[in-house]
Amino acid sequence: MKLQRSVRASVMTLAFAVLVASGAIASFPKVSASLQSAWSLRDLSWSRRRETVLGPAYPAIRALRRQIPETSDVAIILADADDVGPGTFLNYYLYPRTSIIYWGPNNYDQQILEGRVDRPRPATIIWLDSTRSPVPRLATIEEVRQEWETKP
Amino acid sequence: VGDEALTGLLITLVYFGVIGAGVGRLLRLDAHGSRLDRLATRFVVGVGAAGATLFFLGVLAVPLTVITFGSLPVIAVISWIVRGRRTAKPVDLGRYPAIPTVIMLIPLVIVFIEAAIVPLNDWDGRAFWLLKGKAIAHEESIQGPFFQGLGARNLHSHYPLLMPMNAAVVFRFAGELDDRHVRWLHALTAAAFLIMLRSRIARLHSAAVGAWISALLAWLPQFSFDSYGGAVSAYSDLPLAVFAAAGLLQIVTDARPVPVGLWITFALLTKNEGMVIAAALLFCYFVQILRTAGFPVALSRVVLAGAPVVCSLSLLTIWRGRIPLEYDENYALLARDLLSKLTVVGEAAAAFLVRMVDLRGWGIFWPAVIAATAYLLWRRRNGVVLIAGIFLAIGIASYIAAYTVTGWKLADLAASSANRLLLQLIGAAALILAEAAQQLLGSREPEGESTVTVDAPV
Repeated sequence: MKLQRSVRASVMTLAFAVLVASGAIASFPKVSASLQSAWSLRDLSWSRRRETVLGPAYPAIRALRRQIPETSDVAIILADADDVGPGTFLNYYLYPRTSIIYWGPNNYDQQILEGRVDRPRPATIIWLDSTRSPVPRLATIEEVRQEWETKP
Repeated sequence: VGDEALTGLLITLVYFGVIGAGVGRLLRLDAHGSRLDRLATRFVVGVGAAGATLFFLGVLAVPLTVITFGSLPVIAVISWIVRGRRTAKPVDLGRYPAIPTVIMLIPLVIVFIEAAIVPLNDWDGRAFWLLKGKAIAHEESIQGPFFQGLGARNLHSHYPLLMPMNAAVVFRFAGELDDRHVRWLHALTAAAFLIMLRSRIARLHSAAVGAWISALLAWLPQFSFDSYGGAVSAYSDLPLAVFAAAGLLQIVTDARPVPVGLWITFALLTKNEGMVIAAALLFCYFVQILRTAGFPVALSRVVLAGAPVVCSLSLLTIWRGRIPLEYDENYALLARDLLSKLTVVGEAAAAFLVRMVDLRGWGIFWPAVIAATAYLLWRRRNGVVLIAGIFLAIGIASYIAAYTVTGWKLADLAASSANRLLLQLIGAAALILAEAAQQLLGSREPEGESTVTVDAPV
């Protein structure tokens, strides 16, 4: 009886070991990337870590945060649909600045805000065209329109 | 690592730990296991209780200032003192075997290292959840300009706010809207849950089974390491999975209605899917009590457990009525199309269920759960299978129905959401695996049934 119980316990342990191993094998790429990332970032400041992890857009975002007062409203004009991700994160990092996302300069001109037209149009404009550069930058509406018209 | 990251760790541990200690003592949720088991349970309770309470205060237009945030742990301490010393000695759950304990700790240490050093780089955490947390901390309200659509872009404006509330607390006490402070909230919730799960399964079966189940969950990529919903992200799927599992464990180990209702309330206020989870848990609770105490008792217990859930749902509905809907699916409206879209059900089910055999997300976890279910049915161990099976069936059927009516392309929807939805159901899966393991080990008395207490109303 005792032997049988010991065999059963071994079978259970083996079954769990196989299950855990399958999870560990599946986790390996992510664990490896996570540890490598942590090791390479460990001595850097938080700003440098973010630059490394989030890419070249982050220093530009930091600069924008310095240039634009927290109480300002900002128009983020996206060059095309692929920019919606970077635009959304720009919205996140610029908070508490009020950022309004526009889909192209025509959208800005017409004040179309995904069905909401009752908000004033911000004078400060950030132009995001990741086909040309992943870096968001301050621009005038004329500059945006010019680049928009010469888009490849 | 830097002092900045440790500021968030300290705030998170103390704030939610203290609130959880007060609520846990009041409701006797932390009565079992080792000191670590009880601390972990308190932390999970604290995360739920703080977020839910602050949400209620927010709906009632109480300013969400540092004073409001700070008053919760003060009340918790007072409740701890008033409640007095523990009268019963904690139940000894036995010694956890060292090997699975170490196996469980390794991924947790890796998650902590990432939380301490690597900047947050997820999608939903930054796009929705933490942005809402920042807005609450900045505007001291959940009805201010941001939520009215007059501030920064607030995608999914009707999402429940339990986790953003908790994030707002950390932002405010840290003194800056920087997400490095908040990473600990999600990492510690995952860790505390695994320790709590271990003790609950130990109570139900044995310390060895509890330790192995927690070790297994800790190594699931989707649980720990996935940046789309795992412990290293700031998504709300993992907290929802935690509250759902805690509710289910409460039902099968200690079915007092108030704690059951509390866990269900936390789930409801964490994500939209919390509604499905809440309905599933209430039904499981009804069935569990019905099996042991008959229809009238089952009905009265469900009414008691459902009371805080209905109150929370009412407040959530009132709050949503004040907030313009921005970029969200209206599932109540879409559900009307379900009958006309029945031809898509097969495709939707396939898109969702195929993720169960996604080895990169789950290893062989879900196939093992299916095998364990078959094994338990063959052994006629229907008790836990029934409760966990009901929960899984309602969850999976609801998610497939949502896939069926949505306007999304199914492949894209499944790729972005199926693993996270499955994560929300892991509590039931863990229960099934634990029961099967105990059967394999040689069955003890069916404690899952005998430990259910239906005589204590609170």
